[in-house]
Amino acid sequence: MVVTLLLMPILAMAIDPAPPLPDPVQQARYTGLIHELRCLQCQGETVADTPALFAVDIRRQVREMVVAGSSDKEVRQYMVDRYGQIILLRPQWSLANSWLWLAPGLFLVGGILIAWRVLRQRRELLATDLADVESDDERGRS
Amino acid sequence: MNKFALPLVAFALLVVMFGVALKRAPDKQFVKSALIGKTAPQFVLPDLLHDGKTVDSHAFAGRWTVVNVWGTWCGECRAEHATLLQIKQEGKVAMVGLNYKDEDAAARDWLSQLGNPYEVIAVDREGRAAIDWGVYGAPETFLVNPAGTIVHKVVGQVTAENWRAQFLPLIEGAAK
Amino acid sequence: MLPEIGEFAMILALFLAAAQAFFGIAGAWKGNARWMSAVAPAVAGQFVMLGLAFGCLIWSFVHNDFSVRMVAGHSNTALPIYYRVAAAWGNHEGSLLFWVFVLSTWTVAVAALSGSLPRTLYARVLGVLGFISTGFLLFSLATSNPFARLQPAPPDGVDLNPVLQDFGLTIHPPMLYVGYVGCSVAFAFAIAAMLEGKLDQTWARWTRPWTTVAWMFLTVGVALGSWWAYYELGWGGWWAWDPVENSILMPWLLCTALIHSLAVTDKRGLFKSWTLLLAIMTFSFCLLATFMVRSGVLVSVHSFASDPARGVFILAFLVLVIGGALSLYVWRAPLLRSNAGFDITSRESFLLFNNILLVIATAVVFGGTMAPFISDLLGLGTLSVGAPYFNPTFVLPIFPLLALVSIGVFSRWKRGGLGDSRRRVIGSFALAVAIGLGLILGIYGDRSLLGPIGVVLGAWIIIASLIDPVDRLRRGLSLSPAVLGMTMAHIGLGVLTLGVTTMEARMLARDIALHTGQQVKLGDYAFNFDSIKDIEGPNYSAKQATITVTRDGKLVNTLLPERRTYWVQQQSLAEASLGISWTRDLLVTMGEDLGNGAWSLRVQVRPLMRFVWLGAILMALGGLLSTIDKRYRKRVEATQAQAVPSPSQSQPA
Repeated sequence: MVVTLLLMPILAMAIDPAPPLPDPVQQARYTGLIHELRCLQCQGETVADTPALFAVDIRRQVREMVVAGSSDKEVRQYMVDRYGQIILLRPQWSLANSWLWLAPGLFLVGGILIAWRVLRQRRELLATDLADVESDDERGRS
Repeated sequence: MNKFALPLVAFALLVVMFGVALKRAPDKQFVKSALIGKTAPQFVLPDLLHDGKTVDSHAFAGRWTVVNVWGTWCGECRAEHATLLQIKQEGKVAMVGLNYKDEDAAARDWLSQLGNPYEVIAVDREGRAAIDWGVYGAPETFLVNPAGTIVHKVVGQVTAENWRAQFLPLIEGAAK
Repeated sequence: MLPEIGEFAMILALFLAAAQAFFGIAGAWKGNARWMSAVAPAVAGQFVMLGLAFGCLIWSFVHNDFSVRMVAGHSNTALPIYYRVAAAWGNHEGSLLFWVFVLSTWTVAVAALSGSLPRTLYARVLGVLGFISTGFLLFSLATSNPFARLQPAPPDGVDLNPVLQDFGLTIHPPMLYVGYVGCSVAFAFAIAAMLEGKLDQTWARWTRPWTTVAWMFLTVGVALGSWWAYYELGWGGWWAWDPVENSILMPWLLCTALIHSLAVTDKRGLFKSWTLLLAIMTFSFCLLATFMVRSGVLVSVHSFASDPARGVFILAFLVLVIGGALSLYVWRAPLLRSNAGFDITSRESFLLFNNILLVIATAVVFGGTMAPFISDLLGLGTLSVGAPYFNPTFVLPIFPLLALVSIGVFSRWKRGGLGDSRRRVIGSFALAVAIGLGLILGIYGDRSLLGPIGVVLGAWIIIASLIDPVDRLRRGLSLSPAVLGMTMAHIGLGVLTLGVTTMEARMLARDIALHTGQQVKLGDYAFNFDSIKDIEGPNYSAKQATITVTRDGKLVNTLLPERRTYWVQQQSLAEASLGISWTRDLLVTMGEDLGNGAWSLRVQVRPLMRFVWLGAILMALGGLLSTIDKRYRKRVEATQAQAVPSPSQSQPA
């Protein structure tokens, strides 16, 4: 956190005092989108959570596009065209990024397989393991 | 393979990655511009120094153009100003200023005090043209070739060193 | 003069650390008793020298000696004295010296409290710690000398970055460092055990309290960092998943896994090689975190490379320490096996899942944090990975883990079937679901799933953790500190879960422009912008707004947010104001002056925010409590240690 802040060029600050959009669906889309876009001026924050100049402009742009009827996809593409993939805090699904999105699931499957193997082996050993376990007094039950 | 060696193998891979990262040139920008190799976005914006007139980006077609994004609120812009004046003197490129999220009066004062390196200065009060150019701060400086394609971008100060090492070879290389 | 004394003390400490490493490791290897007896004096001497060096650095800051580059770069005469002291570790060079000083403090504690350890193990543990200290001192002296002079000395310093001028930040890094460094003790025990060639249940019993104390400091450190980001940055963010935060979270997750795996090794002599690996990995991530924060490796590949001398040194040191440890592991781990068995629903099994899921969570965080780096390196383009990636992927292993905690607390060692506790598991779950449903239908009328699931999981953990201990107390039986501590830490986890999920699902935030005299309503609360005035601090001037918050016409809080301008760095910073209660935090942050008495403001209502910190405090206290259990105080006979089993067959552990 500290380093991020030291690197951050703190310019004039501004909260974006725009009133909420009258259409709640549009407002929800707007809120969702600004939480997915990265403030490039600040490194690591979303444009929703920083008062940096850049974030203010991007929020305005997103709001205007949402009101004008652009889809979420179009807004994201608009930003990617100008700033590159780096502006998206949720990497797009693509061949190059697929490993990133598949990894958590694969980790989970791998973990379960390992657990399964260990559990099977240990249960077999139960027959020959006659050692007494320190009783459950630590647990508070007999 | 011995499964107890797996952590060591994984660690070795990581070390190789860090090692490669260490060896690579340190001058690469944190955010590479998505616009390099693309046609420069067009704009028609108010002219800072001539009330009522506009700056049209079409006017620079056919020349090497440097588009410099600046503002009086930006400390690094002050630091690079002397270099910009020198580049103007060299006369190899047309210098266009994009005055970004600034106040007209302050910007004019700044130029009369420090000198004006620009041919024209377009005023982007609201930062809309800046978004089209993928600008996220100031200073940022673009090099546009005569065909209207963005060929280079520097985020942060233009210095005598990066001008010589990064901009000039592109301009002179094309001239040969 | 004093800075030179400090530097000289560091050089002496380097020699003492090298001696400690050599006599400890070589002495135990050769069985040379005289060499081994030289270790403890080296530990003491090193501690004195580093205390002196660190004292000199603080003295330079307190007395504004701007001829020292660190002081000129991070302090100022107008800076209040407590921040001048804190500035000593608020920079790369000073924090490194602080790191070795903390390491030396831990080493002294280990040396003083481990008299009952077998002689060679004792020497080896201290030797490994000395080796780590040597590396850090070399790095510090060679590339990052905190006492480097500046010629000529400037008349005044450039001040400490205003965002660092805060109470939270004076204590957050020290806590974290104490935690990181504490993990080096478990690491040293692991290396020593591998050098000894034996690892038994008594080894685990020695290692446990040290690890738990380190974990406690890590917990406090992580929580403080989050707390600081929350109120000082003021925009309501408490966890942004940025690389620096992630680098703090990963050692904590691994250390949490380690204390659970140590419990199994201690009780059953199982998971031996796995425990060793976790101890190595935990400390490796602590090292990585230390360097990442200061080198910015993960912020950008290129800033890492911007100081090649440091980068190369760090990499070489990591290769030596981590690579060495893992090589030793390849050699020794296959020798550790156990023929103990356990059932699928035994406590061992639940702790196995605890470990697997925590390691998966770490891997997810690590993968996401490294992704931009990897993608760039492989030429797949630049990427950002932020909260929209981490939130769903982190929850994937963590939600099952939370559910397993609630069942696992009822399980018994070795045997499965949960015995007569089955009714308690089902009963506690039913109660938690009822509470969750009650909240959803009654109070919240919610639309997102995160809130209800979090409430059910959190409530379940709390209820399940309480059943057995309460039952035991009712029957007039006592509870050991170990059980009490575990219960308290688990309840803390439940409270944290409740807080985080409810807050994230139900928070309200609004950016708005207000004139004095106007109000904005957010949920049940009305924020009235009453007035604004100028105030002055020691090194800043500020605009302070008075905002009264009412609910049903009754005054609930008066908030005084500020927008400060720090004189030296001419930096403008918002100081948020909090209205705190157990049910919600109210938060107001000032944006900018819009003219004509209008200001832009961000107002927020964050339900159950206090539960996040309360949960962390309970976890830390639980850790502390469990370490005072007298089973760790028992003098253990060294003869109990068993010989190395033959390496004929290896067993997963």
